[in-house]
Amino acid sequence: MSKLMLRGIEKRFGSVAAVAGLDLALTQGEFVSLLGPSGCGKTTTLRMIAGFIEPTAGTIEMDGKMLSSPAGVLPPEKRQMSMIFQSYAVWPNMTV
Amino acid sequence: MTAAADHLAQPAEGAVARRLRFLDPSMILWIALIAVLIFLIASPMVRLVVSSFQEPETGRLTLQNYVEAYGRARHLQALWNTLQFGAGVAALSCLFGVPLAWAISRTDMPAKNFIRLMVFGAFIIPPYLGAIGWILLAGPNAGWLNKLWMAATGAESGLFNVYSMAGLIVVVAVTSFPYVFVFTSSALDLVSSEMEDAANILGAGTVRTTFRVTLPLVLPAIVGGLIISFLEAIALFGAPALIALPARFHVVSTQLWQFFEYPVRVEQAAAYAMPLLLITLLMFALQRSVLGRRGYTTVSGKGGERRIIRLGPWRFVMLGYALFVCALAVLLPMIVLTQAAFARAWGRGFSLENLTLQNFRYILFEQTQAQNAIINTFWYSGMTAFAAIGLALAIAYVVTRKLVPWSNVLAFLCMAPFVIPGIVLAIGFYAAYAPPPLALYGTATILILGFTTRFLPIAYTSSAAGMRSINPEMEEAVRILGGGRLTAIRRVLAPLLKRNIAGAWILVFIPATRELSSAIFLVGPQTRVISVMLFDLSEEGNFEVLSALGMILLVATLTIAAIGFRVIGRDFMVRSS
Repeated sequence: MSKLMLRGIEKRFGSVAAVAGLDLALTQGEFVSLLGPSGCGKTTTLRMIAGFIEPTAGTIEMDGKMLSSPAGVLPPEKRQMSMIFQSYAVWPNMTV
Repeated sequence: MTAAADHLAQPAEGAVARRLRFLDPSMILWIALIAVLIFLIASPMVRLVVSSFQEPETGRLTLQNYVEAYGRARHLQALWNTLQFGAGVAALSCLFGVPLAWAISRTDMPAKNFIRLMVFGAFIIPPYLGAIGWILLAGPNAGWLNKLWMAATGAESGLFNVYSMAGLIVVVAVTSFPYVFVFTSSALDLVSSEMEDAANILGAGTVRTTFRVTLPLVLPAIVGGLIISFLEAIALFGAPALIALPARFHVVSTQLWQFFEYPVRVEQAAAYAMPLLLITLLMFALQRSVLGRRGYTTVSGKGGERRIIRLGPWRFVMLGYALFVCALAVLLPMIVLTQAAFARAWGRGFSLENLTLQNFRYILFEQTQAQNAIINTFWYSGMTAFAAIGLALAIAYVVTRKLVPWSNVLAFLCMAPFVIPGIVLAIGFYAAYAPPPLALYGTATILILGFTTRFLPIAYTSSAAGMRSINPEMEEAVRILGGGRLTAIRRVLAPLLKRNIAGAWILVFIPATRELSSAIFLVGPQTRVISVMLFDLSEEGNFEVLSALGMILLVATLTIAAIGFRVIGRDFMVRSS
């Protein structure tokens, strides 16, 4: 049983397809790197898994629970995910 | 596996869900914002155009309003006067603004900071106060300059007459040249000295280089400034009303105001306002094409090294000219206004027995109308600033974070009042909301709504700039850690935008306190504001009390601008314009 399951994920911005027909299955503890030239859809994929953008087509499941499908998407704060951002996202208004 | 079956079932179910999701919170926010913007901007403008084609009583379609509005020679003359006036102001603004910008940006002229401060002062003084200062200075017989001239030469009559087209042009140009100045100097700051060095190497001297290389490079910026001062001038009401009416000529804005004298002819005013609106739209289109032209790219590039031009003894000539402009714009009118504010009778001149605080006491403690006007002004301006900033922030959030696909419609509507002259907008507001069903005539609401619309573009430019400067990942980090959108706004976005919001608030508040062009059409007996009151006092010829009230407005504005400098930094007034 895979932990995270992406089926037929697709994301279009207007007429540009950022991600097209991506299937990905990850098991618990598995370590995967997405490699590719810039603009090939790595970040877009991560952002769809995290829930910041909505896929144009396809589904995302975790532990058999549907996170994202054409019928609805779970907002990022309810997904129990973690993500490190590209540019630094340290809140300058707060202290440690 | 049931997955295949699920996939088969999904399309139909998905379509329904998609339609339902159309009503998610960001969509509802978008719809609410669109509704507010339609109410504030689209509806008054549509109403303006429609009522220009309607019979007053029956509402039937007609061209009669246009016939009435343009059928008289007097009305056509006012249109022609407005064009002359605008062109004169633009040309003179150029004559004042460009040399000063060049001197400050590129030369070793002394006292640059003082000149810069004076230009800023000229920017902050409401044109109608400048006009009153100039009436005291260059009124045909009693004006200070004329009395000096007569005393010095023994002439029978004065030299200057402010009550003329030339007088009006000078008075307005000295308050609008800062636009040309700001445009030109920010462009000059970007021209690399290498361009000039290349000309020097090929044998051109400083003068030739300046006129053949430097100024042509910033020409688009100069033209941009010219267009803005032209548009500001033709939309102005206060200064033309103070000067053109006694001089017995009309411009479009004063003629529009005449249509509101009893009996009120809104439909004719709407028809008569059309050229003003069309000219403004046309000029902005022109400005876009000028600023977007090729060649301007040299200026937008990296600054490179910049060399200061040594003027030698000429730098004092330059300073003399700069001081002359500043004297016309700020020093002279402010000196005579201050004198009048503290005088029993301004014509009696500077002497101790003529000195009094009575004018201030009269305004602040004796005359309830003036007290109300002061309270109204700051109350309405404060409400306006809150309303405009609140709306602008919500729109900027939706637009910069691309929450919905059609967010740009919001930005477009929000910026639309920028290309609508305030006086035209006010007539649209009057036509749409003064009569029933809303019947807002004479209420504070219609003033606040009108001001909010008028200054929404300022609020939006400032808010959107702030919003863009904050990386969305700041908010995404909140959400990955389990906080909702509202938590992200409250705990991260709001604290980071605090300074920006305070700055935007001041940027709306200051122009709202001095707004006259739109206020004059929207005030009622109970809702008069300082600017309107000043105008009324000038009709009574009560220049001492008027000057005192003007000083109060000016001191309040300066205090708030000073707070703005503290909070936001030096160039906060310039950034959004």
